[in-house]
Amino acid sequence: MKKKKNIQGNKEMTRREFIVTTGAATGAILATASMGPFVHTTMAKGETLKVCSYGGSYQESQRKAILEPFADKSGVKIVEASGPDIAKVKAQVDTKSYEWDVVDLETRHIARGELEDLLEPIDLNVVNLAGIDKKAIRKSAIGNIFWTTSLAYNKKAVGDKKPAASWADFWDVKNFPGPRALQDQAPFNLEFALLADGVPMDKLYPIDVDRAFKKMDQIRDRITVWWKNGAQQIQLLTSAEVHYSSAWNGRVNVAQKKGVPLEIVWEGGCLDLDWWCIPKGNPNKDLAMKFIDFALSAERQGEQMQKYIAYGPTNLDAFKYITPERAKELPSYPENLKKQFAHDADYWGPNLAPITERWKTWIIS
Amino acid sequence: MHKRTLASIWHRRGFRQFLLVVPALLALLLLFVYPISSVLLRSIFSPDITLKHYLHFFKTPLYGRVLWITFQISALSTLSSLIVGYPVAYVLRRAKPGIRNFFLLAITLSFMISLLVRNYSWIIVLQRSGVINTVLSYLGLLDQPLKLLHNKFGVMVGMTHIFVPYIVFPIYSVMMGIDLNLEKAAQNLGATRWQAFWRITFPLSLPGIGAGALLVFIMALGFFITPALLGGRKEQMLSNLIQIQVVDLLNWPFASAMSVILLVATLVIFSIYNRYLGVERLWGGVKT
Repeated sequence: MKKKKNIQGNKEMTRREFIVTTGAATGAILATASMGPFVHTTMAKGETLKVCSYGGSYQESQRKAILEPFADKSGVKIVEASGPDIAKVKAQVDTKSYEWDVVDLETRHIARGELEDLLEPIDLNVVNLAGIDKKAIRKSAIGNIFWTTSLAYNKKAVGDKKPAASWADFWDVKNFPGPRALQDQAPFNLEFALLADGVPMDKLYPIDVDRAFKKMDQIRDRITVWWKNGAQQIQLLTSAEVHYSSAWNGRVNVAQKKGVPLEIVWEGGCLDLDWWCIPKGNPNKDLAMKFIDFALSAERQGEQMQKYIAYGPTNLDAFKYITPERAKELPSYPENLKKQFAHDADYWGPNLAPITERWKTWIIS
Repeated sequence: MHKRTLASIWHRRGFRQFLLVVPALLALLLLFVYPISSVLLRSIFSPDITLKHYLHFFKTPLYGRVLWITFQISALSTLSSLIVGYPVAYVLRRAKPGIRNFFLLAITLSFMISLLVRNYSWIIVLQRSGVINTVLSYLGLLDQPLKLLHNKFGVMVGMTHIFVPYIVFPIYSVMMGIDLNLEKAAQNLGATRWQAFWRITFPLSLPGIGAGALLVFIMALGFFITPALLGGRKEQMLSNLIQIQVVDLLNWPFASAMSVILLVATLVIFSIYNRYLGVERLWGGVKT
């Protein structure tokens, strides 16, 4: 098995790195000539890596567990940006002006990006995939977290009543009363509708769209709010404006840690990923690959998920660095994993446009 | 004849005046003409010249319906901004300078509060467990909480809050130009206060109403954050669908076609307005 190499330990230097290294070394020697013997230099000194991610507590977890350690270890200066999407990647690739070297993107963007050839293929000579879950490996991106969209509820608002424990319960407004919310989009919801209609988890794809919309018809007028963004779902649940909503597990966890009485139902959750990728043709891609390799290591992911955010590591060895209590809160914990289905981005890729038109037509009717 | 030396050109008054507009023209060219033409071109080439994106728009009932909703929401929020904003401008015109400046400053300040903050504040006020419902049910006036949010009403409240300053300033500036003695003279001649307002002040303030209303209506057409946060499932704006095409589907030609259609619809409104009210009035001029 290939041993994970750290940045300094990489034996093969490209010509450019060699020039940079010798240049930096010469400079360093000149600068430190009077300060005793020259100790060591890092190959990437003076280079910059521009990383874009989704901001908030998520990017903070990456900053502490990955970005800062990478900068310390390699001497690379990290410039952070927030708010990525595949449209902005396309604009950079089309104009060949790269604002980002490494981008964190959701699966739907990755699938679209691969479809339109906007991403660099991952260089497996640099990025070590030992320990990485198979679901997290694509041609042009490697997953960095597992996250779940699932049913969540406010325990206090539900009160003494029995809480809904599945999507079938969510659809059963008589036995599980209370205002509800769902996201205003077709992906996830159609899958949830099929689960509620009794379709087994491994038979969801390809989606029986007619059947799913028929099931959605039953609940449309019982949904108080169709939420549009991540902040909204938690605001709705926290203020008990709705008792039940689909929600992202990481956000629910952050609210729980703040003492909000929220609960997540893993049953019927939709497991999805975020990915590291590199915009096609990026001149800084060699360094970007090394960054991705570093970011995927068990130790870095372990620290990130243990300390900073409740997403699932894609490097399964990372669980060595995570306590059993913490592991239970994470989407890729085996007990949680088997209750969920995996989001099929490749189904959605070509089908998103027509189904979105149908969804929007349905929702305004 | 070699009279057209640089110096002689320079000394022409027209030329020097023209120089003054050059920066503005360049900015317009760079920031307005270029992007809009590239959007236009993108909507008809993909890669060969085609009208398929426009056909798709008009053949799919969804887009016509959402365009209609967009116009409805824009018109309604313009109307409600007028209803709220006009009396404010009217009162400010008559207020003492100190009070007037205080309120003008307060209105200006509201520009500086982020849109999202203002929208979320309305959520806190209007939601089921929000301020209004809590107070009313505490007073025993309600059996069931009022539904004030995630419907058209919520959108109207949020949009009006954002647009009122844009309505107040044009009306206020037009009203400042109306001689207060005119109303007094009318009353002197036997008109009631209401008649004096309705027959004198109101018609004279129409240019301000027109300017403010047009400004707000056009801004509202491009809005989608407020309808998304405060509206229900039916309050979908065209700009929301454009965003999905740009960001999620990477179908930029179709998104461009949708933008062009929205722009053309806006221009149609603008020209109707120009026909009946005159665009010059926007800048306080008199229609000839």
